[in-house]
Amino acid sequence: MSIKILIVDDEVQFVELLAERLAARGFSVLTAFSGEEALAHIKNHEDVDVVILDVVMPGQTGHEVLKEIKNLRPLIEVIMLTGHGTVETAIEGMKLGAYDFLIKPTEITDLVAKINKAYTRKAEQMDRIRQANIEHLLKRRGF
Amino acid sequence: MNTPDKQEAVFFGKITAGITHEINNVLAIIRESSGLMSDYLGMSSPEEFQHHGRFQKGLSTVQDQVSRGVNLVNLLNRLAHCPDNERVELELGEQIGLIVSLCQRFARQKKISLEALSSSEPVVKLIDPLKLQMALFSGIETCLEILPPGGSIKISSRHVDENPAVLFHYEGKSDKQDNIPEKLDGLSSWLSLNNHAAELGGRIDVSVDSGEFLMILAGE
Repeated sequence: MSIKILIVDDEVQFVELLAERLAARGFSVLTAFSGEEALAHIKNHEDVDVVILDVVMPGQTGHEVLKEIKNLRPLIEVIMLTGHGTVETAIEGMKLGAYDFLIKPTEITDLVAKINKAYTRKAEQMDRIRQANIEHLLKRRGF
Repeated sequence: MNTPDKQEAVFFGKITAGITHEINNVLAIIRESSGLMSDYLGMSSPEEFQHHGRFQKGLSTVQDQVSRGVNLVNLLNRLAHCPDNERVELELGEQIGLIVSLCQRFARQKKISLEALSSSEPVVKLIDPLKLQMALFSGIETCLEILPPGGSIKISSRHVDENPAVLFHYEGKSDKQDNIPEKLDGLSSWLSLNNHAAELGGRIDVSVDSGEFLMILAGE
């Protein structure tokens, strides 16, 4: 089953090109051109594994969208993309629960590596939750 | 202090910072587009496509120039943010690295090498970032004016009697055996450097024999 990615950026051509390159590498890709569109996808759509999220967008900022994603689906991993990396932007993103941070334009190999690692973390979290649920059930039944 | 000069600097800084963000987005699109073309090219072989090698080379050039553009834009963005605050704690070596990178073209045009040397210890100072960059630029301009082609400039930070300082070292063969302090006095860039240093609470010391001058800043 392929990793599901949501790319969020107001630069339409950038999103479409990146989506095509990631799809060619075996990822299942959704796109959104605003924070509002991204959150609509997450609320209404199939399960997203990793979000690639631009920090600076008109309307809701990347950090605001990140906060809402974490409220809606805490297990989704978010990779922030920014034009000019600053330590402050990175720290703010990490505090809000971002998995990592990349500076735009990024090398596709770096992005793919981060996506795979982010997905691994999500999968491990889900496994732990499943395991905890099973143990809880067994305990309740006296096992 | 919100003087007209300061307002002008803030204006230029804000516009430049905004535009550098836009340019970075453009470069990101060019990188992804050329990357996609490279991906598709990778799916064919030279036997299937006669111009495979030429396309690979062309795309590689695009990627290299995108990286070069990104680097330049990031440097400009850093400079554009200098007027944001009047007093910031800065590491002088990093600031030297920034202005040296920004001035490479000026040095190249005169066939002079320009280098930022790393220091053995960080040299930190609470200072006006824009005025510091202007002072460093005046120092570089001074060296570029007095050196012949083939010369070299090396800049580094250090402490002098516990005060933060910047050393400008210049070397170059010249037919003229001029008295260096006299030669420097006639230059508008040298006058600017001294004025900037004074505004930063510092001074310039010239070493007559060894082709160096020091900008010594007041310690905290």
